[in-house]
Amino acid sequence: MKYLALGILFTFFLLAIFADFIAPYPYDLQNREAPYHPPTRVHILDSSGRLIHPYVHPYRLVNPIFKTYKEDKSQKCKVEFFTQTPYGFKLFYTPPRCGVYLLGTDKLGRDVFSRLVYGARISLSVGLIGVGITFLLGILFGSLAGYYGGAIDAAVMRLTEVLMSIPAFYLMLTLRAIFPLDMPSVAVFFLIIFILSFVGWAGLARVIRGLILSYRSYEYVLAAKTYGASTFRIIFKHILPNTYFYLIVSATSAIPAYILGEASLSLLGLGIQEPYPSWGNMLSEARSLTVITFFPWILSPGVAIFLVVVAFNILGDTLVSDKEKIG
Amino acid sequence: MLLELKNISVAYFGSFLFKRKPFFALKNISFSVNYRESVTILGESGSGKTTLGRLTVRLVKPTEGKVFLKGRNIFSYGKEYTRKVSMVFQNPREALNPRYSVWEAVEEPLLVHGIKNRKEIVEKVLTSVDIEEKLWFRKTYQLSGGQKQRVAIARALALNPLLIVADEPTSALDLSVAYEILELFKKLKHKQSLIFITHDVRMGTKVGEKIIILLGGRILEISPVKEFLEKPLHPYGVFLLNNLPVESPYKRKGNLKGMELETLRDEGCPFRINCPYNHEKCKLFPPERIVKVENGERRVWCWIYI
Repeated sequence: MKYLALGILFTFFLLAIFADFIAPYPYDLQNREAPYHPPTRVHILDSSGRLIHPYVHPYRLVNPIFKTYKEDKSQKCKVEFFTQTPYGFKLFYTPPRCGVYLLGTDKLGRDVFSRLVYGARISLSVGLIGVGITFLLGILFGSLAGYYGGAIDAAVMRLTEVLMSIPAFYLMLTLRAIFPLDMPSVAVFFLIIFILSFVGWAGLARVIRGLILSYRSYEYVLAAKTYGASTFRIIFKHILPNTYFYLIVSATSAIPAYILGEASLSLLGLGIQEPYPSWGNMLSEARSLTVITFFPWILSPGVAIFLVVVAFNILGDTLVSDKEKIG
Repeated sequence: MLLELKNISVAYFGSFLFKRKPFFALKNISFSVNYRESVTILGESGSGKTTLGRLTVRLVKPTEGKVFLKGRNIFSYGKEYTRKVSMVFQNPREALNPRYSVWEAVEEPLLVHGIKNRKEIVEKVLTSVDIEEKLWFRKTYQLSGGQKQRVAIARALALNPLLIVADEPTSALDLSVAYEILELFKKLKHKQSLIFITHDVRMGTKVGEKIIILLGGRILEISPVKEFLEKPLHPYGVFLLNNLPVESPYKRKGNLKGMELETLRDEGCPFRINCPYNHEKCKLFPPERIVKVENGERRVWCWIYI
């Protein structure tokens, strides 16, 4: 299970990193002649069942009202690998008369697979950067509270309780409402990270505070005090390195919350704005039942979210049980 | 006089939000430690000996009274105080950061104080506590309990302090290893002052020159070890020597319990309930009484001598 989860995550991160190379089309390239194009069938066997170089047939729009397509068997294009295209050097590509849409296209005829790959960049980096910032905040407040105790501890803990008592989703909506709706997309990206970290740091700060509280009375920490080590040194050399394992586990289990948070904001149109793809705003098209019924490939970002979230959770769980086995 | 405690009381008040009636761990304690003198503080659990040890390294602040090092209040020193007094802790399993190697653990105090020629000093102290060279770069969690305690002692020695406070350094070790550590302390004791805190009468009387009997946060007797072993002045001292471990627990003389908990919070002598000389007067703690002996003086706090 652990390796499966690692494999899934590894694949998605590879997709995100090499999106420019893997996605055959730019994320905002529209093909107005092919809205809701079904996933292109890639043929790898010929009529007698032998393995041959993959090829595709072009699709013809049969019914423009219901958007039904038919494979045009009279023509075929070979899928070219590692080739120079009008959009740069790509992993695979077909001549424009065919078009290779691995996961179909959306309403505007944009390739869902390409958008999924580019969207992975945003959705995954929101999780990672968000958790990173949360960690900074959590470590800062958690170690202040845990190490100094007393009034500081009480103040920080009451603050986290207030934050945690507000339902996270409404807090996110409220925070989003403070800022104008039309912002440059980069600003929106960082705004979402900020909102998610602001909502998420409280829980982590409490975990870290608890850990520091228990390590604070360890004799090597007391000893460090008696030979004059600074508070900074004690926290970062003597306490936190011994708790890193718990921190990694809480990070792996926190990342899904960020991915889901970004997805839910974008789904409501409050997150990443079109034409920039994120898994959340790609799914917003799938809110209509007709779309899901007739063009189920629009849901593929949902599958991606599901896989990544499950993989992160499995990873966190196996890390915990591995640690228990080691002791 | 190197270290001097004057009328020290330490009280614990509970947490910041839930204050409770103060509990006095130490009540009006005064004693002093000379240069290169080793002092044993002997006390059973709950007697306040750990609080006393932590007080001398500034981990605990006194509620009343002052502690002086070389005539200067220890809280008026800055970081340089930590060079002058170091501490060895009780539990070797916890005393060293498991992420550090032996070398790093001993080097860190020097690093903190920005001392040069660290290499020589670390080599010197590690050799002086008999840690073999092949262990120097092991992680500390790979060592045995006795080795860890040696490294902890080396760490305390690294800054070449005037005073080492050892809080029960042998009690978490098995007996053979404990005696090795004890030998080490005997070897080290004349290079600097030593406060050796223990609950074990046999260990304590082997290390110190002066013994301080602590019970229920009060000092009952301060005597040179030799005289104390010959004739303890305080009835609690007699009780301690009577209760030294013997082959069979049935051969023990007298009661096994020193202090009753109910005496912890009152003004009386903490030993009085189990004391053969219990008297109405003992509900108040007696004043100090000085008995002159050949080399120095003995001090005792008991109504018998008044």
